[in-house]
Amino acid sequence: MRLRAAVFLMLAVAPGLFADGGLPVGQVEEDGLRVTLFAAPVPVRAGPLDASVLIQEMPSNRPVTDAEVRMSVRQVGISTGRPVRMPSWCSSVASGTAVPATAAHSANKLLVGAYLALSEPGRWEVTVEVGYRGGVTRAVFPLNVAPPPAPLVTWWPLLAMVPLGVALYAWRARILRRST
Amino acid sequence: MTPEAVLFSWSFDPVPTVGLAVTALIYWLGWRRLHRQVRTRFPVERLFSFLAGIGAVFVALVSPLDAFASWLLIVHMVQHLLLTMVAPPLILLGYPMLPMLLGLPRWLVRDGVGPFLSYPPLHRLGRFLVHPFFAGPLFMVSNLVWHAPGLYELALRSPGWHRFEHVCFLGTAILFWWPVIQPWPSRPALPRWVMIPYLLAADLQNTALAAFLSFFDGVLYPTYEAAPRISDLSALEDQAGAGAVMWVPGSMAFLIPVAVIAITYLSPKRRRRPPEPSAGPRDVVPPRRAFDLLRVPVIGAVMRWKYFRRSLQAVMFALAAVVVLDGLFGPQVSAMNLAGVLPWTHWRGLTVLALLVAGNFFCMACPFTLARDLGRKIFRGNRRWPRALRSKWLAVGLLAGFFWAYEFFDLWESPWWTAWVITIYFAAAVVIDGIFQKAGFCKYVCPIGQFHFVSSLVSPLEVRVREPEACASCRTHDCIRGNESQRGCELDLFQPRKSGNMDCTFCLDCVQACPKDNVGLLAVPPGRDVIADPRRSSVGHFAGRPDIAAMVLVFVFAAFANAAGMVAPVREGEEALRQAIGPAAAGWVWSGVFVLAVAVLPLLLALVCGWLSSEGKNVLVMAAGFAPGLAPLGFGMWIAHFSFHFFTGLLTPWPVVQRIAREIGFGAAAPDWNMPGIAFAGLTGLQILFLNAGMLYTLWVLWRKASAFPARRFPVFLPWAALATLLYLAGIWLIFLPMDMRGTLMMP
Repeated sequence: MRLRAAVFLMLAVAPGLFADGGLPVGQVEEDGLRVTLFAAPVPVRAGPLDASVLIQEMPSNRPVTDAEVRMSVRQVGISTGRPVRMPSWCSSVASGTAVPATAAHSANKLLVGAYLALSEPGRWEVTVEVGYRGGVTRAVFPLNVAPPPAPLVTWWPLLAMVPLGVALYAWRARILRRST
Repeated sequence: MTPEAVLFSWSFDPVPTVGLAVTALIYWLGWRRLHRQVRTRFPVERLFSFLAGIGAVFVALVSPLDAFASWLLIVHMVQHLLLTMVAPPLILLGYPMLPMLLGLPRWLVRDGVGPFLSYPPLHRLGRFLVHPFFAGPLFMVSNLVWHAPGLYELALRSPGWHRFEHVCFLGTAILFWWPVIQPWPSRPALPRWVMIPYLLAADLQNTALAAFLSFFDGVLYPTYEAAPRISDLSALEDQAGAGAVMWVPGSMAFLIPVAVIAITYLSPKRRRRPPEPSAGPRDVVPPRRAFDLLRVPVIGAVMRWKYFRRSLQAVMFALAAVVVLDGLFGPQVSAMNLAGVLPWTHWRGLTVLALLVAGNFFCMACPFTLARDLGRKIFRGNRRWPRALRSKWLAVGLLAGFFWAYEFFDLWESPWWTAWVITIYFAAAVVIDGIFQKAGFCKYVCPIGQFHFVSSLVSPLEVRVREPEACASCRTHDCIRGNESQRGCELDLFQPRKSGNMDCTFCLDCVQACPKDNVGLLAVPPGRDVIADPRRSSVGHFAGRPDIAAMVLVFVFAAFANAAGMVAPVREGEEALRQAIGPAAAGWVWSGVFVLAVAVLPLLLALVCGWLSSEGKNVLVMAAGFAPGLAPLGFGMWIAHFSFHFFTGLLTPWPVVQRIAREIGFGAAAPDWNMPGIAFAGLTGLQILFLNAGMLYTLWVLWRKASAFPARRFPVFLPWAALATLLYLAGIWLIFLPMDMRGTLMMP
């Protein structure tokens, strides 16, 4: 309990750490529940997967927020690219290990989620186990995992800041020269 | 829908949260000054209006509106209305231009944005952008184009495009509302009555679009059809509801100002009060003093309390004692021991963050100082520090040695060694200051202190005199000599001639000693002292101090070498070498490589740059003068690196504390060693930002220093800029590689 309180406190003061739900990548109806899986990034790429699920009671569509949810990933086909090194913060989520999905993960509190590690491009499965009212519902979602983008593609707006800053400074110097 | 879940669905996305908080703070700082000077022009209502506008943007971007915007079009429409109809007029009613300028640091306004603001073509561009004939159509086109299904879907599926859509909405809305509000001191381009047809035209467009959404008999945006249904509304009903939201509240936002303008325009003119004497924007700017942390209420009083520093040191001393005890007697697994997690992850991260936002606060709270004072009481040493050692060369060697030992002995992996390093450090402080007068340990020995001295060259706070004139009449010089109740500066920094943070431990002895209360903790433009390179008390010119230049170079290159030691390609190379020639030989080879990278290569490169930029004359002076210019880049790399470890391993001490509490009988909970890292997908971006800031600052400092040679500005600048660019690219490469969390259980 104290650990939870500490984690909650840390997350409350570092709120940028929450991820959002992403886009729906699949929906399964089983045992009177509808499980919708959201993922980011879309298309899904090798690396950390921000996975969230929405659980709803059928047929009322009422969102379920008090279920115990665990998620895991498993590679089901051959790799279609080079393995990817995971960042340290999601390294504990090894392939096949079920991790608890929590509401703290996403901004949208109807979702519960976790980071999962997709270490290689290829075909994968996300398994969601929902413990609700004494029963356990399993939902399996196939995923096609693309190779990760080059970091330059992801971070180019930030990398452009240095040349942009230099250009602005040069422009400023030109303005000053003209005004004197 | 579950109401609690909805109410708690706040994202607190750091970019809008921090950005809006900083904007509000800057406005408040400027408004506060204007409110004192021209209360009628800047009453409290202006502040409330601006803050309400910022609050509306915050609610739109961070609240549950954003979390549910991709599930319900009605919610998304409310979010857009806040961005286009509510926030912009409220922000503009705060007359934000002058408060925002006055709220920024003076040097930034004068040297940064000032030239652009006074540039006539940009003035004309600004007037054009807010001209009703441009701003009105732009707002309407933006509104129409972004509601086209293709673009709307694109924004729903891509966070980047979604953010761009919001920027378009807010940006064009501010331009649109500008001529309606006409914030002071801008002047209208057209007669006031033109605003009536202007607003009505916008309302017409809004009504047409709203009617289309309301009455269209198909779902325009497929995402909402596929979204989970969490309410009783079908996708089509949701779309019609969104149209109604756009129609009714949207129209009101246009029609209420129309009514106000019409009534004002048609009402008989009342005699206005004569304008205040200081009506122009130039006249209302009051003079201001530099920010002084010691004059901030409460904080200043606490910091000036005589026992403040001693209390900080006592806390740090107690913490160090616990770390040493755990390191010596606790489990010898780094991740399970305080000596493994606290010194190498948290202490380093916190000190560089303090250096970034304030200054050298670690030296202020240094626990070794407590030991030094104890050594003095025991040994009563009164020898003078040896003349031959009165330079930084010993400290340069110790700093490089410290970095080498960290890598060679894998200090992060050994709590026992870490505890001994801390203990030896205490012993050295006691012995050295027990034998010698003043602060020889801090000034000439302590590698941690040297690290902080170099880092604090770019810190925003500096211990310096408040009013130089007051020092002119001073004959006692208590700040350096001390008096009966307070010792003076032990590092021989004479306040009236002190410049920059080099050698300053933020001990505040001079603050306590000054009888005129003329020494403060003042805000300064970071890096200013490096550019000007004045003759500093006890330090002199940097250009005449090759020892300081060498220290800066070791500091800078070690930042990159230390980070490189934690990435896969370097670690794999290390492992391959170990396999090939055996662990002992490989260790020595890597030591050689490390010494080359941290000591030999930087000195050679600096001499080459000095030679190239000086055309072969005064090479050493040139190298020594320009090398400190690389300090911001080095600091940027250190903070990029340490922030990664600090944020990722933020929670790692918790299970260790649980373990210790359990062992000493204060807690029963079993430690959860599987503590998750803080999942911070944007951490790489933050690291790049730190490195970018360091790089830009270094380029600026180097350019300003090169400007001292007007005839050869570029030839002087280019070699150093090339060196900085190479280091920057190496830093980016390192940031892109996954980095090990050494000393924790978060190994990939």
